[in-house]
Amino acid sequence: MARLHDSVDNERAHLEALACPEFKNAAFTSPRPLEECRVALISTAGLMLRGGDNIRAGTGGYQTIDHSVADTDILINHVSVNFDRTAFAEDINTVFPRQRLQELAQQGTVAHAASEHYSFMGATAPEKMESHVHTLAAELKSKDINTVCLLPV
Amino acid sequence: MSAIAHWIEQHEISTIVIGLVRLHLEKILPPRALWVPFELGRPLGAPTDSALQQRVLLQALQLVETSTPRQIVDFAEEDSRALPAPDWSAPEVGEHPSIRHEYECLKPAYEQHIANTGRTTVGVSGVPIEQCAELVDHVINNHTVVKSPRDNFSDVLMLRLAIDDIKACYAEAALGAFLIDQPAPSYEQRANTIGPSSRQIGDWFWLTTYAGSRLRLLRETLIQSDDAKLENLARMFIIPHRWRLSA
Repeated sequence: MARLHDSVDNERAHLEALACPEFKNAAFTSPRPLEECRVALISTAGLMLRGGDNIRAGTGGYQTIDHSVADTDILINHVSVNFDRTAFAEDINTVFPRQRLQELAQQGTVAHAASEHYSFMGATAPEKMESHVHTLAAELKSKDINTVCLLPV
Repeated sequence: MSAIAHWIEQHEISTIVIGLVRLHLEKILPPRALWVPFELGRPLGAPTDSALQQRVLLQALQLVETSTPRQIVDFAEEDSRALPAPDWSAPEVGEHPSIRHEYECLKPAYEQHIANTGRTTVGVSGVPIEQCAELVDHVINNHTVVKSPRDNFSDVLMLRLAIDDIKACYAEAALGAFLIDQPAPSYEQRANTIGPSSRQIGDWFWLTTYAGSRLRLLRETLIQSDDAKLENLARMFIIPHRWRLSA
C-alpha cells in the first residue's frame, strides 16, 4: 500500500523527506469534454526499449515508445529499488496502460489514443527535466495531443 | 512526477496525474490528480484485472471535465492483489553455492512465467542472465567489481543492472512457479488465479534464497567501500527499504 502509515519506518521517512517543488500561479487549461480528448501517456518508470539505450539517472531526458514497440520489448530501467515491479512483470498495463487507453479510444470514450507514449526516469531532480518536458510538450502539440495522463510509480 | 504536469499544462495541454503518494500530491498540487491507494509501482492497481485498470484510467481522464483547479480526487477501490495469496507456495530452492547454481534450479519456473505471459522483464543489463549471475557471484565472493562487459557501462552501473536482472528473473520464477507444468493460461484465466502478492515474493527472495540473503550481506560490506559510487550503489540501489539490514 502507498499509504504512508502502512510503510516501514525507513520508507515512510524517505517519502516524507522528499523535496517537492512549489508551483504558484500554476497554469490550468479550460475543461474539455472527455470525448474530445486526444491522449498520450507519460510514465516516470524509466521505461526503456529492449536492446536500446538505458535512460541514465540524472540526465532528465525521456524515451519515446512508438506504437510499433511490442510489450515484450519494454523494460523498467528505473534507478529506485523501492517500488513493486512484480505487477509490471505480470501485466504491463499496471504501469503503462496503453492497451486500456486504446480500448477507451475504440469505445469512443476518448477521441484518440496517441501513437507514441513517453517515459522519464523518476527520482530525477526536477530542474534537470524541465527543458526536456517543454521539448516534449511542443512535440505533443505538433501531434494534436491535447491531454496527457501522467503515471508515476 | 507532478512537476511534469505543471510544465506541460503551460502549453495548454490538459494533464492528469494518477498519484500513489498523497502527501506528494498535496505538496505539488498538480492541475488535476487522482490518488490511488495502491502499492508503489502499480498505479493502475492489480495485474490481470483489466476492468479495475480501466476504471482507474477512466476516472482519471474524466477529471479533464472539471473546472476546479488543483483538485485531488481519491479512487475508492482497493487492489485485491495486495493481500497474500493463501494457495501460493514459494519455489523451493534448497542450498546452493552460488546464484548461478540457484538460477539453474529456478530456470523451469522462470521459463514457465515467460510461457504464461509471453514476455520477460529481464534484459536491462543487455547481457544473458547466466552472465549476470556469474558477475554478481564474483562481487559477492570478492567484494570487488568486475570489469563491465559492455563498453558504454561503467563497472558499477553494470553491477546495478545485473542485480536488477537477477531480481527480475527470481520474481518471475516466483510468479511462474504458481502455475508450473500447466499449459500457458490466457489473460482471462490468469485473472481468475490469485497470484502471490509482491510482499510474498519479496519475503521469499530476500529472506530465503541464496541470492537475496547474500545481496543483503553484500550491501553491508559495500557501504564501507572507499569507492564513492560503489558505496552509493550499495546504500541506495540494491535492497528495498523493507529488507535492509541497516539504515
